[in-house]
Amino acid sequence: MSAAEERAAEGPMMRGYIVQSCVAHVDRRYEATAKARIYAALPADVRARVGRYNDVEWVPRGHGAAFFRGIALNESGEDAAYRALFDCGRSIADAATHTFMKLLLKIITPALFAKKATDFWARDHRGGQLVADPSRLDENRMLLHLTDVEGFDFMAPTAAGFFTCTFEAMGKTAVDCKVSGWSMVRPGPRDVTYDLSWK
Amino acid sequence: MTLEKTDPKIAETILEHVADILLALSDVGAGDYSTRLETSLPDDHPLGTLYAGINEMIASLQSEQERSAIYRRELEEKLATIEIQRAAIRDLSTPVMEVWDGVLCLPVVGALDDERSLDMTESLLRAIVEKKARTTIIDITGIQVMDTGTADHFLRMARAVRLLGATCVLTGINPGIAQTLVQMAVDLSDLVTHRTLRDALQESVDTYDDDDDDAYSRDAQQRALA
Repeated sequence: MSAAEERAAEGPMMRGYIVQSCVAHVDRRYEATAKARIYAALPADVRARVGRYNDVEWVPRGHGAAFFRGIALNESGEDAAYRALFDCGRSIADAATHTFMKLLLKIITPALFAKKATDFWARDHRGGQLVADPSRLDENRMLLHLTDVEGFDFMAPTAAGFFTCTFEAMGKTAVDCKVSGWSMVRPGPRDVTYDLSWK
Repeated sequence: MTLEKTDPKIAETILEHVADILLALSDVGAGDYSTRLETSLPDDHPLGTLYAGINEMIASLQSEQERSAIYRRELEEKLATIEIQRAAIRDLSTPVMEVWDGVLCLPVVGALDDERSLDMTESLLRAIVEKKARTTIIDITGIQVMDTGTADHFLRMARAVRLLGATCVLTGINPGIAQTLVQMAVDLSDLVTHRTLRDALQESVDTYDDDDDDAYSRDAQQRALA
């Protein structure tokens, strides 16, 4: 079996740091009762691994999605859930931008980000694809199309928080990220589009 | 210094390559040594040479990391073995033998620290209860040097034995230890001492026989009176 076939057999995966960042975010952000509620909603295999995720290892995407689901269901209403997930995405981006990534974000331009978007996604995810549309860069806007992510529940608002934090780290202000294709009743659509704008 | 005054096309190329390098370094920084820089630049291109250099450095870090992982595994295995051996030594270092009916012997060899002393006392007391022993002989022929700490361990052991209604006898004190104990003014009056294990055993057996004779006489007298 080739490496690509092996990967396909494993199913969608994500880097361990994403799940570990969720753990840190929940521990930091939520009071005891809410935290207990989120942890109680996690599947047993995820709960058993809390605190033991290695940053660079590949873990099933479901582990991250379990945290996103716990965070979303802890809120009442779609807006509150969106905000909570968005905040979680910011925390993940913050954890991702360690030493060398910080240096990279200092020099990177939106045009280069658009060019590298697919690579950026592939560094942290196996499954799905991120493609940027740079046609409106002169208006300080960029469309990001995330495809083939069906079943990655509650990821869409989290990624919006991630992109916003990343663009702020690039020195952009008034960063706004609109998500289309996602809702609480359709938490894991096949495709999601992000409309990013900044000053 | 920025790339503003550089030709935009060249600036973009440089920026893209620097981004690639930083991304690779970022992976390495996070602990992923499998990452490599890929380029279509010719070998003699300065950036191509830089890429090759960085890839070599990452490969060297990777092999070093693999080596240290092997060392770590070996070390962990050795530590586990040491722990098993330590447990075995602990068991072997506190042998309590029943050398006669109601007479136990504990030969002590080597240094006696708090942990070992505690293990010995525990084994000895358990054996006294199990074997219903009336005498325990602690033989220290195998101890060459004794300090106040070691002497104190034996005194405590003797007191604990006495609390269970048994007698504690210390044997095998060599002349050097005897002199040291006197110089240190260690009070061993709580302990019965004998020169050799044989002497102590002989006395225990004699006492046992005497006790048996006494019991026999008492029975005979009672039978005669009846």
